Amino acid sequence: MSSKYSLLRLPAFLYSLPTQLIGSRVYSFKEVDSTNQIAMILAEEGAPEGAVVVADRQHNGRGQRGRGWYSPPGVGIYLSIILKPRSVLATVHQLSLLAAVATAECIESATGLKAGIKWPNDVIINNHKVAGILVEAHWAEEIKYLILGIGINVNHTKDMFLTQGFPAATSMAIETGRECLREELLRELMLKLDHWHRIYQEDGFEPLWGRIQDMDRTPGGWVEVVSMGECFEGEALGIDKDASLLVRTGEIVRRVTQGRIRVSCDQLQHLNSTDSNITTPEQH
Amino acid sequence: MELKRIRQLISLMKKNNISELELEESGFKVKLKTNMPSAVPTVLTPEITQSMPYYTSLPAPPQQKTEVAGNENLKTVKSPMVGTCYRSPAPDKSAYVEEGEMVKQGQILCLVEAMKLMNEIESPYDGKLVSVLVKNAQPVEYDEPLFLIET
Repeated sequence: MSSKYSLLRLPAFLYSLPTQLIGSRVYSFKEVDSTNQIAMILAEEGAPEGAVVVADRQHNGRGQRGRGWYSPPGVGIYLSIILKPRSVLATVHQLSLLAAVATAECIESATGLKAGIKWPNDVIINNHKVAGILVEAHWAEEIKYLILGIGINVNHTKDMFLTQGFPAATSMAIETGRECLREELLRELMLKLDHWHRIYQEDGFEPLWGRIQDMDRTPGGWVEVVSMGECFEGEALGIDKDASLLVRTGEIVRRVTQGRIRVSCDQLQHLNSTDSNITTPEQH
Repeated sequence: MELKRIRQLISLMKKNNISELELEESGFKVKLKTNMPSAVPTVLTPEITQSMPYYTSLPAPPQQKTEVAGNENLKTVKSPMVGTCYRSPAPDKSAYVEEGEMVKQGQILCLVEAMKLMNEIESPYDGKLVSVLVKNAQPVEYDEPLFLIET
């Protein structure tokens, strides 16, 4: 590998966390194109489930559909985890929400602020995106492996987002006015991910769903869905017990489990400021 | 076979808890599968009047079936889910594969985005990609043929 992929030495405690699965191995880099991409390469080469890739900087951090994740050095957490679920598509959604819950909880305990989940892949504080989840599953008839990518804006300044054209993004430091120690946050994140993963393995999605109730900021949003050959739009009612999204169109409530979907946030009932462009072409 | 008839079959399956059904009628073959987590789908809140089936495979266009039937070396790669098929990793990138290219087992053929999750679909076969059956950014159904590979 070129010098671009030189390793970054993390504090020793991050290599020996008391976790069951997450962090079974930790690969850390100074800079990479994308931690998801490295995780995929490692998964192809047989890296074990639970292996974690972290980087201080991503040159080409991935977001949805070719959109990037702004990943400057020294201020963020950019992490990808290799999972190998024996599963169907529904499980992929559940794991995505598992990552969102763990991330939101970490951010809450570090900032003391309430964090919310905007289905399916954003974590928000005060209606601004502070973290994002990108799940990339690799299919060979069945799921071969799945990469959970997590990006957290930790110590980014308002100026950094403004100069990059992401006025709606925020960071933990912007919201609290103080910097947060990234190594500690990373530790918390891996512990929380492991904690929820263990519960999920033992008891399924329901305990997570209970937690999500509290954090779900989807209700009130407007959703467009194309699935099973039909197209409809309606008001999002929230995330259901099986990780699907409930959408109301007129008198009918539908459970959306798959398909193409566009969630628009500008009708979020929690939104009380005029700044409503959370979903404008920023991150993810 | 009319869409109405297929709908009747689906409702018949639901009523009788049938998880899989294959039927041939006047030269037309249809295979329907539901993948409910439990035998009876539970309605969680009384206000839910309709829930979408988890996976229902609708019949593939017949011409693709006959093509496959005509050549045993011709294999189809199907979509594992309902979503949008993208032929390149990003809008400004070139396609993963083009018609006529040799592909290896494990090589990524396309991306299916479903409910904001990105799913890379890899080739289960070594061979020549003889036909791309989907356009970029095209909506695809569960089990819809995406590629033909000659092995």
